[in-house]
Amino acid sequence: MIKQLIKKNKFDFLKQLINSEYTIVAILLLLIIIASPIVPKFLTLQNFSNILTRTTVSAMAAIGMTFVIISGGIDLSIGGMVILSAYIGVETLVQNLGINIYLAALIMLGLGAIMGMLNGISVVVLRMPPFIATLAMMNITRGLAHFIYQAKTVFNLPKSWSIFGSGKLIGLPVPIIIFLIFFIIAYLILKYTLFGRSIYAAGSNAKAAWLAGVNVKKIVFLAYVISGITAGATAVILTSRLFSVVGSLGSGLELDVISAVVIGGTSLLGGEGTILGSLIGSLIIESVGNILVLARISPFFTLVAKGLVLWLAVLIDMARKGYVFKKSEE
Amino acid sequence: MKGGIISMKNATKVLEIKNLTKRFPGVLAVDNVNFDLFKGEIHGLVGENGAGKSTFVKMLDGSYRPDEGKIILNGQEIKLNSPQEAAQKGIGMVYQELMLLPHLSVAENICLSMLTLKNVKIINWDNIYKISSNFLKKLGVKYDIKERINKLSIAKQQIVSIARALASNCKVLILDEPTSALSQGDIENLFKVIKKLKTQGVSIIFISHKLSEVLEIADRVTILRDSQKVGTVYIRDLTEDKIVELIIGRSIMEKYPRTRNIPAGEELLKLKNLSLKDKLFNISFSLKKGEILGIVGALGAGKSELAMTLFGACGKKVSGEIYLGNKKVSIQSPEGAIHKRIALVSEDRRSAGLILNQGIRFNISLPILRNINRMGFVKIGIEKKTVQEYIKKLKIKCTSMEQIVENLSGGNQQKVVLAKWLAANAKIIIMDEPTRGIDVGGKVEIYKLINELAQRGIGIILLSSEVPEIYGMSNRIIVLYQGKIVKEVAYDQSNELEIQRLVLSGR
Repeated sequence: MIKQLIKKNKFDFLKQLINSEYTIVAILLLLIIIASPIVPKFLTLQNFSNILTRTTVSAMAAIGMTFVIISGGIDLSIGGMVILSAYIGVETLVQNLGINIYLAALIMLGLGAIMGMLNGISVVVLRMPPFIATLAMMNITRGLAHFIYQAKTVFNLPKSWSIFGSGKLIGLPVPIIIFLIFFIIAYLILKYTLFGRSIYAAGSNAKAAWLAGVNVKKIVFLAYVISGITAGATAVILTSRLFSVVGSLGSGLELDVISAVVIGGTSLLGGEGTILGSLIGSLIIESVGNILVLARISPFFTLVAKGLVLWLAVLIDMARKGYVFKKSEE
Repeated sequence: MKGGIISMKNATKVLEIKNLTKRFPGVLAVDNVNFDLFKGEIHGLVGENGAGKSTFVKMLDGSYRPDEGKIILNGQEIKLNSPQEAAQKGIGMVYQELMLLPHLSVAENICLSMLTLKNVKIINWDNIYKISSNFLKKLGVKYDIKERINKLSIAKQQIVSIARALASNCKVLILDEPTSALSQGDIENLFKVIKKLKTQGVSIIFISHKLSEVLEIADRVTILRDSQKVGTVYIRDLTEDKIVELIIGRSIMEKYPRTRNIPAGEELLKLKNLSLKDKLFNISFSLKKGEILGIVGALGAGKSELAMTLFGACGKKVSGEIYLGNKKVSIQSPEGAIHKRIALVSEDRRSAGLILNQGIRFNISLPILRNINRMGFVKIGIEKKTVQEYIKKLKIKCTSMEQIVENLSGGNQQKVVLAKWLAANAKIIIMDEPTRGIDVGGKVEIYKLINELAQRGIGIILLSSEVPEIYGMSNRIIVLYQGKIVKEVAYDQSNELEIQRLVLSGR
């Protein structure tokens, strides 16, 4: 038998904390605790509500991205899908086609779903590497948006459209409610359903999953569709909050979202990650941005800070999994 | 080779190990092991999985630093900090996974250490080609040295790996499970190479699970058990059963706990002229309830292809007819096969049989989730009950049903695979090399399990390249040679030797 040499030491608690899945929550709390006394106006209800509302944008897109990354892929086309569905969806409202705001919102979701399907077909049927397929889609979608609409700013939106981004329902901001609905559904799917299990299986080991009867192609395809749908939902919230569509809408969003998902503990190799982690990851990124604004640090520094947070989060995650700072010389 | 034992009294000790110990957090992996190696000796190293073999040799090639003990090479104590350092001092290792660079040529792989030296600014290709073909010549083989490594068969890659070790002038060569992926013919070639090296004065440490091979080629054998050394014994004093006893610390009456009552059961499966493009030709056989049908063939004979075809994993290149019961069926996908209650225990359990980074529960229930859900939501209660039941039935050793399967021993991993298919209520189980890489004790447990399943009426197709395993386990034996059936015979109408000959030559 292998001899167990279990030693208790005083660092056990600290080790356990770092090793636990809740490291990421601890980082967020630490950020809040440190920032609260230093940064003026940070610890206020108004500011927290502000952070949460802003977070809904990246966190919404992060839901779909989490599905895609767990399934073993990546989706770089999120920003592109957001702007194209935003322009087309808003166009249906502006053109007085008798389309009401709810239908327009559904159109945006549907457009996202269609673009997600195209990604899915490239990856699953044509077997393209996800990075390349979605990179192409990113350029095509953003390019089309700019080409068709000449990157014009659209602002003559109907007043009622503002409900999705700035409205309130039973005292809660509507975007938060919309996000929570998506979040809870996604959480339940990943944690408790056959489909959720299949995504983890497909992302961990596609061959073994296939040989265990999982329809890997269908599962991966659906992951991209989900990413498209949440990109459409992001477009709804974003256009409603900004109450306009601009040519730079959603640009760079995919990188923020990937950062959030990775900070949240989802492995870029697939098969591992949680939807809650991605939410916390988004909150961390938004909080960092918010703190920098309140502390009146140059906005040009924001990108540096976000990069550092990502770098640090990945380092901690790697330490947790034992890839770095290992004592044995393996 | 039994006659070729060198006289150890006059031989020089190349390597001497004293009180070598290695601890990992919470585990004593190698405990106070002494070991010696003579010039030109082939020294077998055996033991169950987890006995400490790998850790032991990794200390010799500088991958691990020992916590205690001495490594004495040619009379001088040495400290090794890296495999490069070990190679410079003349200790080379060929890992089971070979570790070649797949997109580089044979020559580049052989001369890799010379290509990466700091003082090399410009590569003299003529020199590289000359040196590498010289080393291959030394081993008595001739390959195209400009060919890319991944175009070569595993067997040839193995030889190239050895050549690479020799290129850094190694005097002690460690071979970790060198035959595990080789066919019988390839193994003989490898042994020729090893014997050639022996005559050139190279000392070899040979790690293997296949005891018959150790008996065939080694001069002495060292047995490790539970991190400690059991002993070092001259091969001439040993039998296979004796080694097994030393390895597992108790005697096993029979390696293959055969039960072998010929089944009178109904026909479960019948194949008529099943073919797979360029791989399988007109395969016809039938399988009865409770029968163990052994299909034996060398590597490349089409064993795994046959398993994959039956499991619906070979797509549209398949022709011929498959009958389940009396009904003609077509099996288009693994999903479809599972639906028809056919299961596959695949050859490579780590890459194809299990989702390694997930728990036992996740793995066992994966194929049955479609039956235990309400509107897509998994019925966790039923799932846990089922999984618990099979953990108990198959005696899977684990801390909990959530334990990550990567951390289980090979034998227990294979039990998880079997549990998965039993839970899925399979009535035909195809097993492709089910005991590969599993230690002796674990193998016997798997064999017992296979017999139990057969007794319960499950039809088993056992595919293996190891004749003793097939001969010892099957009711009926089919020999596969180059994609064709060359013999079908009841176990008691044949003998091991005949089967072995058919596997090797097809005649």
